[in-house]
Amino acid sequence: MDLAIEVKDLSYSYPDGFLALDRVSLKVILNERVAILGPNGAGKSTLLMLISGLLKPSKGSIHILGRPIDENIHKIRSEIGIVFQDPDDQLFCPTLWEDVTFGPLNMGLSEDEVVKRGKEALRMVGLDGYEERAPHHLSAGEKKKAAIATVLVMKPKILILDEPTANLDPKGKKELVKIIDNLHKNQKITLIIATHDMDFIPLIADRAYILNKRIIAEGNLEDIFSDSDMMMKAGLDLPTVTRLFEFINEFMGSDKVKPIPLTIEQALQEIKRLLKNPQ
Amino acid sequence: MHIPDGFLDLSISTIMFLLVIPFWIFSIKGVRSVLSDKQVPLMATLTAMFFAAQMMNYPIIGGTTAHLLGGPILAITLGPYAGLISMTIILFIQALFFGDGGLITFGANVWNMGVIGVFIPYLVFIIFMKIMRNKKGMLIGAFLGAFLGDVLAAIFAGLELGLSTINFPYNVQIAVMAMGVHHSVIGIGEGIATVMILSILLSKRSDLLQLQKMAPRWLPSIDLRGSK
Amino acid sequence: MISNFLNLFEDIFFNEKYSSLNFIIQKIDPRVKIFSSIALISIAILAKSILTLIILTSIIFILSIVSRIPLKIFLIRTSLIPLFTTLIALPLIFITPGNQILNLNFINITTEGVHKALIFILRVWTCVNSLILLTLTTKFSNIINAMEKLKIPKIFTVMISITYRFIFLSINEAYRMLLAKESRTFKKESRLKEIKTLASMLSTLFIRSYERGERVYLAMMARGYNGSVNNLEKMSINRRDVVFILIVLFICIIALSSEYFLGVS
Repeated sequence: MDLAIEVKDLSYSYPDGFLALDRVSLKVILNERVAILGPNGAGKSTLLMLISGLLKPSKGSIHILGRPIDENIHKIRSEIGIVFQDPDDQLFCPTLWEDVTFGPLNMGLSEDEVVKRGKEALRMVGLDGYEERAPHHLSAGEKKKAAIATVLVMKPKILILDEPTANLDPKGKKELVKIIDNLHKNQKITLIIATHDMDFIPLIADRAYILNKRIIAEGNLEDIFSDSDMMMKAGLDLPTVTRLFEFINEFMGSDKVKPIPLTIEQALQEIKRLLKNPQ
Repeated sequence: MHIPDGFLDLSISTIMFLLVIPFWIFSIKGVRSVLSDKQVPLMATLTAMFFAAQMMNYPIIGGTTAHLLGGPILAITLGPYAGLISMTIILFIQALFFGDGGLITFGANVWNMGVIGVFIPYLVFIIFMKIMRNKKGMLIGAFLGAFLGDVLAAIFAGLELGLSTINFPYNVQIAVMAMGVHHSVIGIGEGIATVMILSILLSKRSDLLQLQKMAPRWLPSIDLRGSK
Repeated sequence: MISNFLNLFEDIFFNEKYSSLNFIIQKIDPRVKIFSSIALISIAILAKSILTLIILTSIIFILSIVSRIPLKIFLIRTSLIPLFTTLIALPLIFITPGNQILNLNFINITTEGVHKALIFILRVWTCVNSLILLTLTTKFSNIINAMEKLKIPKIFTVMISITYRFIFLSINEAYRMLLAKESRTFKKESRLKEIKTLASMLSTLFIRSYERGERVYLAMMARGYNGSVNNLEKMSINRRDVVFILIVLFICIIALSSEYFLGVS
C-alpha cells in the first residue's frame, strides 16, 4: 500500500484573501483511480495545481511518492503530470512536435531519448503522424489528446486530469476513456481526475472525494452515489442510470437492485437479470 | 502607418534601424530586471490579443475608420520596456505574415509605432499621474499620451518618407502634413479608446496594471489603489 | 458570415500548405532565404530603372511557380500593398511637370509623371513579392528556428512563437464577441457608443488574455520551463543552399552594375 499522494490539512487562500481550500486531507494509493467531484468554484483546480506543485499551500503539507513536495520540486514535476482543462493553455508551440518535446528537453534528456519518447507519447494517444500539425488546426478532441501526450512524454507516475471531458463530443469522450484505461492498466499510472461529468466518472474511477472547499465525503463510487442527499447538497448530481435505478427501487418499494448500477453496461446486466427473474 | 518596403531610401531605413537598436537593448535589459519568467507567456498572450485588437475597426469623423494601435495601452499596462517588445513582435508578425510593413523598413516602423508610440504615451501618462496623483490625472495623461504618441509617430513616418528623396515621390512638407493631419484625427480616437479601456480595467481588475513595478526607479512611486 | 471570414482569413494567412511542400525553394535553408529576401529587397530599393524591376519581379514569379504556389494565391497575398501604393502614386501622373501626353483643360498627364508613378508602384510590388515568397515557402517554426540560429535574443523568438500560436485564438475570441454584439444591436449606434462597446470588448479580451497567459505559464512550469526554450531542430547549409545564394548574389551584382555602370534605364 504505497502512497502516491498524501495531503494533510491543506489550506489555500488567494492573494486577495479569498479562502479556496479549507483543511483538505486526502490519500491516493499507487495505481489507484480517484475522482475529485465538486461543483464549479469548489476548489478542484486549485487543489490539483497544489498537488502538482504549481501553487504553494498556505497551510498544510503535501507528500508525493513519500517525499514532501517542496523538497525537489523539479523532480516531482516530472513524476506528476497535469492535464489542464483547456488544452489551448497547454499547447503553446507552433507545432505539435515542439509541444511534445518541450518537457523532455527541459528535463535534459538526450536527443535520441526525446525523439523516442515523443513518438511513443503520440502513439499512445493515437496522434502519430500529427507531428508537424499546428495546434490551432486540431479539433477539440485532438487538442485534448495532444495535451495528454505533452504530459505523458515525461513518463509521469501520477497523472492528473482537470475536467477532461469539457468541450468533448461523445466520440472524443469514448476515445479519452480508452486512453485513460490503457494508461491505468498497461502503464500502471495513478490517476486523479477532477470533474462534474457524472456519467463519465464510473468509467474512469473507483473511488471519489467530494470537495466543496472542504472534503465533504470520501468512498467507493457505489457508496458515494448511494447517498443522493449528500450529493444534492454538494451541488452535484448522480449518473443518469443511477438516478433511474434509484427511481426503480423507490417504485418497487425495496432495495431490489443492489448495488445500484453506475454505468450503462452495468445497467444492461441488471435489466437482463430483472427481466429473467422478475421476483 | 505601416511603411512597406520600397517607400524609404536604404539610407533612411538603415538610420532608423540603428536608432532602434539601443532601445531594444535597453528594453530587453529593462524587462529582465522588472519581470519574472512568468511575464514571457503573459506578454505573449497579451501581444496576441493586441494583434487581434488591431483588426477591429471603429468609426471616426467622416466615413473613415481607424483601429487601435495599442501602443499607449500596452505602455500603461505592461510598462514601456515590455510594451516596446510587444509592439516589435506585433510589427514583425504583421510584416512577415501579413505583408503589412516590410523587412528593410522594419526599423522605421518599430521606431514610429514601437519607440515613439509606446514611450511618449508612457512618459505623458506617468507625468500626469505623478502631478495630479488621482484617477483623473491618469485618465487625462492616458488620453494626451495616446494622442501625442499617435501624432508624433505619424509625423516621424512623414519625415522618414519625405526625407527619402530617392524612392518616395513626394516632398517632406506634403508627407508630414498628410500623415500628421490624418493621424491627429485618428489620435483622438486612440485617446478615447485608451481612456475607456483603462478606466474599465481600473474598475474591474486594477491588480493587473503593473504600474508600480514598471515605473523607472527615478520616478517616485504612487499608490494606485488609493488613487481610485 | 463571420465564420466564413475566419476560414478565409486562416486560409490566406495561417495556411502552411505551400510551405510544407517539398520543392526547390521550400528546401532551401531558411537563413539563406531570409538573407536572399533582404538582398533582393535592397536591390529593388536601389534600382532606378523599370527594366531592372521587371526582371527582378519576373525572377521572383518564376521562383514562386517552381515552388508550386498557385498564381492566384500569390497575387492575392501580394496585391494589397501595391493597390494602396497606386492610390498614393496616382496624383504623380498629373502634378509632375514634363512632356505632356494628354492635356484636357486642367488635367495634365506627363510622361515623367507616368514613369515616376510606375517605378514607385513596381518597386513596392517587387519588394512585397520577395517578402511574400519567403513567407509562403517557409514554415513559421523554421523562421523562428532560423532567427534563433541567427542569434536574435531568445525573448523575441520565444515570444513570437507563443504570440503566433495565440493570435488565431484571440481573433476567434474577438469575432465571437463581435458576433454576440451584432446579434444584440438593432439600430445604428453613435460613434462614441460604438467606441465604448469596442473598449469594453477589448478590456474583457485583455483580462481573458491575461488570465490565459498565467495559465500558459503554469502549463510551461509543469513541464519544467526555466526561462529558456530548447529546440531539437538542426539546420545545415548544404550545396544546394550555396548554389542558391550564389545565384541570388549574381543577380544582385548584375542588376546593380547594369544600373550604375552601364547606365541602363
